[in-house]
Amino acid sequence: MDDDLPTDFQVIVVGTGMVESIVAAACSRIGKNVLHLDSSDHYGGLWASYNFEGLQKFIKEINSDPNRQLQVYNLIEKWYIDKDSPQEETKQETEEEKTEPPKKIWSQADFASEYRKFNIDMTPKLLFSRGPLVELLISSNIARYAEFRCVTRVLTWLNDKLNPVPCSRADVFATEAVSIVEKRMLMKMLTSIVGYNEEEMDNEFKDWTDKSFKDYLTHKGLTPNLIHYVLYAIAGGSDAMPCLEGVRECKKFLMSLGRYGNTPFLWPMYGSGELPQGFCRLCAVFGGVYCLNRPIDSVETKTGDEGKEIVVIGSKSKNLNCDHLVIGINECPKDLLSSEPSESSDISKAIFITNGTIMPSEKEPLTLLRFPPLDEGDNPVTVLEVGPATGSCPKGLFAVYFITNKVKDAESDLMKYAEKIFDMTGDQTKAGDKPTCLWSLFYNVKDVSAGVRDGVETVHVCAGPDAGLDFDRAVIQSEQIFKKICPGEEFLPRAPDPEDIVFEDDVTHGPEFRGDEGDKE
Amino acid sequence: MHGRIKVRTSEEEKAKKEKERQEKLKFFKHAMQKIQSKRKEGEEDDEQLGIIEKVLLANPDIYTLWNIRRDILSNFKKIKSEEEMVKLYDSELTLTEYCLKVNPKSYCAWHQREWVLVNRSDPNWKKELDLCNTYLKIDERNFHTWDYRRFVVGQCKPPLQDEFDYTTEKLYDNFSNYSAWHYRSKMLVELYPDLEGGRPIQDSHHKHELKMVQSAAFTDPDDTSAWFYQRWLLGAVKEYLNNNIQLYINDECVNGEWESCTGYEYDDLWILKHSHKILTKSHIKVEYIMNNNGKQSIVCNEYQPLVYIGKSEISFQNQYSKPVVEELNDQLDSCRQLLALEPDNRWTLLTTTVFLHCIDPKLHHLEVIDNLQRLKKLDYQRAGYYNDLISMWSIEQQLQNDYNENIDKFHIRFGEKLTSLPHLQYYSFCQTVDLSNQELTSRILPTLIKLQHCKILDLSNNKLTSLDGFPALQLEQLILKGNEIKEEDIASFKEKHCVTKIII
Amino acid sequence: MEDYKFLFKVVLVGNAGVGKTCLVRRFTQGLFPPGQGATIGVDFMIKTVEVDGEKVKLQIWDTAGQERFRSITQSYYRSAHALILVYDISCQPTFDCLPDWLREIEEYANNKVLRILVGNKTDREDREIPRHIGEDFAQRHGMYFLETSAKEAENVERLFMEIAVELMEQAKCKELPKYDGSLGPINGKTSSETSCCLRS
Repeated sequence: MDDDLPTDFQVIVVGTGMVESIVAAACSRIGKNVLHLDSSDHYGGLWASYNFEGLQKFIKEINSDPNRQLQVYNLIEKWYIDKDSPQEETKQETEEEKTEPPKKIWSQADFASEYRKFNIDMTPKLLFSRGPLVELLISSNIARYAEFRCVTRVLTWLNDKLNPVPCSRADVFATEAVSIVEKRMLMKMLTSIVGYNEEEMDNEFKDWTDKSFKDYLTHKGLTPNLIHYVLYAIAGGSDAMPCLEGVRECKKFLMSLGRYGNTPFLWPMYGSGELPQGFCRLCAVFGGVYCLNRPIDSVETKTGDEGKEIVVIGSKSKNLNCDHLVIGINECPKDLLSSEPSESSDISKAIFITNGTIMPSEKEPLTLLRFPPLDEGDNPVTVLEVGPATGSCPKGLFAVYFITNKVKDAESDLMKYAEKIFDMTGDQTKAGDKPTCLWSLFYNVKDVSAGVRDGVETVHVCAGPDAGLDFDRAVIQSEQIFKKICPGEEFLPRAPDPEDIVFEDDVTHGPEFRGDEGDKE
Repeated sequence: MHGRIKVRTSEEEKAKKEKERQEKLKFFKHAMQKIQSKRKEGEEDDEQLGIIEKVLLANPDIYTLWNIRRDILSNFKKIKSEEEMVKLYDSELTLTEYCLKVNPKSYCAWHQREWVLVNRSDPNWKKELDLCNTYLKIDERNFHTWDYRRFVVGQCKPPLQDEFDYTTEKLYDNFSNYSAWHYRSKMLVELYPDLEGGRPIQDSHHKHELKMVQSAAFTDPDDTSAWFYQRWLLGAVKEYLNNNIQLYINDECVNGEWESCTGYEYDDLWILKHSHKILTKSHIKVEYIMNNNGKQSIVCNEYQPLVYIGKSEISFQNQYSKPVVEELNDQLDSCRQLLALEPDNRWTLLTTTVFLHCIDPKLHHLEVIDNLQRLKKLDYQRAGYYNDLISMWSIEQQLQNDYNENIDKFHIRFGEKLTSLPHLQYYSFCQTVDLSNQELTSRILPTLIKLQHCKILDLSNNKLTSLDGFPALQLEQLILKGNEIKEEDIASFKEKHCVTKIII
Repeated sequence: MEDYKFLFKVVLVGNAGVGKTCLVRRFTQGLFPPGQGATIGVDFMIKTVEVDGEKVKLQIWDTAGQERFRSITQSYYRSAHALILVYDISCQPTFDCLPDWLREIEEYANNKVLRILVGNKTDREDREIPRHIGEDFAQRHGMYFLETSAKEAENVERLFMEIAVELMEQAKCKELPKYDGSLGPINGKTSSETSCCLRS
């Protein structure tokens, strides 16, 4: 079947990560002839969500391929539970005992048999309700390919325990964690930050450009409690966070409140891996050709007959030609990349599967937890806890993601934070206040951005996942690449709704329906 | 062009819309004609229901059509089986549901629902309540839904505590909700009535509610719904006397007609028309039954020959229990802390002032007046409101003294200028009333009706501009100098009223 | 005015060239498009039908050509209420691929999704898959079965109407669809309060 693959395209995109997929959709949308390839059998690359089997396969692949470890390394997978369930005792329950079913004791075998109910994110991210990705999804009409859930609460680690962060008007009203005077101070700070326009910002903060956000909050008379909420939980910062950055982060957070739920965040159903797929679907709807399982062997640029530069891609002993190549940084042959030292930062990540939420609530929670650095030299840690309602895991389990900027390695960076909120003994019978961790995976991801070699105008390199909470960087980068390929063209104009499409009557009418009544349009 | 699909241009879109509009209009006209002609012919049948339904789906607010539907259904009820009616009622409910989707604030659609449920024999109130809650999830402030919900609750009578908890839930979603606060107050009065009298609810809950509403007020001071609720909580419950007042002259029961001096159903000054002759040295007393069934008796003393005056206890101080006063003091402290941070914040200042007044009006009187004067400057758009508060609270202070001193003249003994005349009924027996040098405008004139025994009334140096609305009083002397009243106004006043002497 | 009471998402899968797009266009537009390939830019088609006097809106999704190299996005299967698996009765390989498709469906679609196997192109003289073979396969995998001809408009309307009736029945069994907290599409354009959600 592969032989069917046409060979000439205007744009070829290699890799189905977030940036690549947005560019593919944008090019196809305005009429470019696009081929989109991926070497693996699934969409998303490092942005994918896996079921449990797929995840095992992913771990095996990384561990057996030193090349891939350049990007993902320090992989440590751990089980905290038995391979098989203990032999089921013959149940002799009476009716009364049945009222409270015993908590399920999970085994590794249970994970294997329910593997399909997992959708574990390699790049878990949230969407700010008024962030660039949400706006893009709506303006381009790609939103119809995905469903979302609202994050139900924002927590922080304060006074050695978990605390809900009052971040909306309703939260501030309801909370008993702050005094009445603090409520007023907090609301005043938050409303003033939201209210500043650029000019007022410049004015208010002209003396604060080289000072920290913490200094500013202290100066404004906020109590230590409130500083904690605003700095660590709302702005997601650390003590050193510059004042203006803190204000901007707060503003972004606050501006996204009140659009969909009680917090500013959305979580994609079935995981972030659904999002690049949405863009791929749009690309396909507008004629893009899709081919997974299609690794590439070589990339060459050459000058064609009319002096036009073309890119030739070798794949499965076939040459594919295009005007522009868009390629994920990890797929890109090194000789194409600029020799200048590339900027790189590394991310420490961890995934935990637990048997309960870190803080019980009436309805299934969807949580963003922000840890301030616990030790000197640490970075703030972002934690996302998602449950069965998001399609991330089977009933009774929660998937919890930890993300921070790397200091040493993923395990030493994150384990101590995990221990604060999980029981790591694997004991599922205990009725403690912490959920039991059943399985964990630590890994580091290299976040490299690099340009292409001088003189190559037709190859565009896309960065991989970053440590940011939202998809801002991916959206911005994909728009930049698109503008280079298609200068002057609109970036992802709204795809028409099916109701508005006019079908040209260049078709022969078949016989009318028999018995079709009352539905003539 | 490759890759471009054809979508309707805005011109085409407009033309299409216009065409649809025309078709709709044609359909509407046709349908309305048909409905009317069928109505004339008395054809009240399924077809009629069908046509009406189509029109209502597009425009749920045509009262007439709903009326016709009710007519038809009422007739059907006489001829159709129970089973058929159940089906009809069900589809009627479905129709209203669709209509409410089109317009969630459609009075007639809500009303139709109510009618169906009351008229059918098998109303499912639980389902109705769920429906209300669903609608309130979409728009928690839709007062139509709250109204209708109260009706449903009245029918299915869920536990009051559940209802109370429901208001809590809704307020935690969004406390800018007059309906929810209001409903909460109703539930509180039912659940925790104050048995002592004089307060809205029991102490323990009173305190909790005060905390809750303060939390709202501090979170968003610009939201007025919480303020109204706070005022309700802080307010005293006034005792209303019904017709249980009895007058005795020399232990003889006097019968007659009680008349309000303003002619209203509720009033604070009543006149008994009777045929008894009042002599000097009579023993006159008034008895009335209070709301708690206690009997109260007031003996009237002879002030002047043939003038008897009886006074009951008078107090404008709200009676709060110790825990509530403690809570109020706590909240006052919080307010003062905030004022130190933001001295010019008008709502903090106002709350502080209200608390001061509630805790001890006499002790804090000077500070209260001082704050109100500052508020007038900070918040000049509400200066009139603050002025009226100053008038009321100043008079309340003076009234306590006047009452104890047995005076029969009324003149202002404080420096603040009056803009309104509250509590004037307490001076209804005074023959001399001096309201000179105030800031009274002509709008207060009707309230002077309370001065039933006034002979000499001094209104000099006020801000009167006309004499419209001046009540009929038996004045001997009226002093009006220092006002800007037109000559012709005075002339026409003289024609209508017989005042012995008018000083201009 | 959007006055439908139920909205169902129906998706089609199957090898390239089995006539998925033709089935959709035959049903929604009453025509048979000649030539190959899906129409550029058309995401899904809509048709509102009436079942028991209630309006039911069917949103019928096509593969957008991604089946050509077996590269359908998983998200395509999510939240589908019904899934139509199509093969060409005159083309054995399209039938042989069915197990592969089923594997994909099991992996990504809701396990309660209504599944229908359709043998298309009954107008063709060169049938390769006898009817009973298709029936057997459907029965073994718990699917409804129907043979159709998009060209001759044979059974096409029946196919979709039966889906609408069946989905309605399922939805009604569940009484009022409970609001499950999922936001659905964030632009709110296609969501409807009363739209039915079969996802568990």
